[in-house]
Amino acid sequence: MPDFYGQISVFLERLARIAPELGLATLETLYMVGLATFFSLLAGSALAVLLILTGPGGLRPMPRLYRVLDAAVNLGRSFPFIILLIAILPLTRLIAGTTIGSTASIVPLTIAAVPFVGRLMEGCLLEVDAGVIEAARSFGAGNARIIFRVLFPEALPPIILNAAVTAITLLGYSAMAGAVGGGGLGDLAIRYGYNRFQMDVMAYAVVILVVLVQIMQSACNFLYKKLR
Amino acid sequence: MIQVNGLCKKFGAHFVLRDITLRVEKGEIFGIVGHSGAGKSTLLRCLNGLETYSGGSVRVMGREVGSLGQKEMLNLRRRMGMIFQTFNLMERRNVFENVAFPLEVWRVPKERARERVEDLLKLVGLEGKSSVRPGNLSGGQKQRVGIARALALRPDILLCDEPTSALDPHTTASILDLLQDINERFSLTIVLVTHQMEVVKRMCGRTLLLDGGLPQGTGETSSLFLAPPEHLRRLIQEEYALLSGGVNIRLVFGSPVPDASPGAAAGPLRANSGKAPGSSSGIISAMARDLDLDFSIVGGRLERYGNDILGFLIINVEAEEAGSVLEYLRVRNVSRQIVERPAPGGGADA
Repeated sequence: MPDFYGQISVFLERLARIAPELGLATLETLYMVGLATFFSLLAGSALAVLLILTGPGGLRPMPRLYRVLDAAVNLGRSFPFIILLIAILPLTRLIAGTTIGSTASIVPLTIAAVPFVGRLMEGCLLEVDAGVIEAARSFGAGNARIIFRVLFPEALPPIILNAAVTAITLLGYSAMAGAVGGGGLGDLAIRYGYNRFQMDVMAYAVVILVVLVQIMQSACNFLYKKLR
Repeated sequence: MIQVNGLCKKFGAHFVLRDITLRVEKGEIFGIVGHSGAGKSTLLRCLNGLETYSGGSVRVMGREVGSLGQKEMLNLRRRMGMIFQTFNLMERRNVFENVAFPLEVWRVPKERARERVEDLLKLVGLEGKSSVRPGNLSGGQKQRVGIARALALRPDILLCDEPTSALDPHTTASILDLLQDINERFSLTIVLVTHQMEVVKRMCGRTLLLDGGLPQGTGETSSLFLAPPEHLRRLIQEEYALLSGGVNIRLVFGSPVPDASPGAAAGPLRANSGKAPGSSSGIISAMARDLDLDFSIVGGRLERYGNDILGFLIINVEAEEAGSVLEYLRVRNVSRQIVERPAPGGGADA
């Protein structure tokens, strides 16, 4: 019996010692993933608008530009993240001033996500009924109005779902960014669990990641139902 | 209002529209009718520049549509409302917001827009539905929202693309009544595209028949349908199992065929004149007595054309008696026409 209490007290002691680091790592992860999601949604939306404007049957078809954009998106998506991360180090230094830390890792995270988000958003916007677009054209709405007053508002529910997909994907990527000095939960899990064999720390980090994913997905599902 | 001359549209080497000429006057309801794929929706979209054309001229309210710049095009569309077979409402906006959308696009001040939308919803009979989403409306109600939206900017012309094709007969009638009412009240010019012959007969003073992108006939709807030229009969679904012997003669009540003299007995029969069309068809029994002949009735029909009820009757007589029958009808100024049997293999499947 005393042995049992002893185990519990050891457990709590270790948890208390690691808790501040876990908390910090969680905040770092939220910071990286939050900002990278935000920036990639912005840039990805812009890319998606270009794709649907210039694409076949678009509001302003430009087949050549579309082919270039299309190929660039595929190229961007085919890079393994860990390679991209290293390949764009100079760019990261240029933008963030450093290549180490959570702020710096926002750069590769965003760049990796933009083509991905662009494709997802393109799909959402293409789902908007062509008849609705035609109706808007028929009473004299210009392209800008159609994009911002018809396409995005009508496609909002699926866009929300895809924001969750993006955030969760970036959460996974952030562990890799952590491995090269980005900080965050993934970094913590690797440093303690993999390098120092402290399996309990790795387990805590993974549990927090699981909980974060659940929260993000549920929140977006809730919003989706509400907005539909 | 609208003047189309020699309009052509090509996809590659294939003509979608060919040699279309039509003229729509202010305040009339003009019909464009044909089967699916006849090019009628494409023709309609050439009128407001949603489709481009490869040849000919489309003048709407004095302006050549094909040569308008971006801004002028939007201004022209502002003056032309459009409604659709599939309604094309925005699912995430409620009824009020859907009707208000064109006003939003043209930056009409909020307060004025609100009044306008309320008036429109009253006009189409949807007061109290303001905050309902289109998904919770019936087809007829959706089309009413579409009509209100199309009228929001007080257009001069309303383009209707198969407005009742997705509706049941009862709802169709109520939507047509609404369109007619709007046409009369605001002397709004309406161009109506449909494959439903009965819609054209009821609504349109004049009609263009389209098949395979080619104009097949144009003119007064009643004469087009009551005494169709030979080549149009299949197109307008006027087929009867004609008897193989004898001669089939079509008598038209109420609509002049080209050779009938004006002011003839066969003048239009007012629906509310209290005079049954039958009194005109009394000519049939009188003829049977006078000429002492027997005949068979092949078919016939009375229909409403706008406010008139008009009709025709096809009878079959022995070949040797045809001459005297035609003469008898000619003397009495009854519009008549010999109906040829379709060539064998030409396929009367009716």
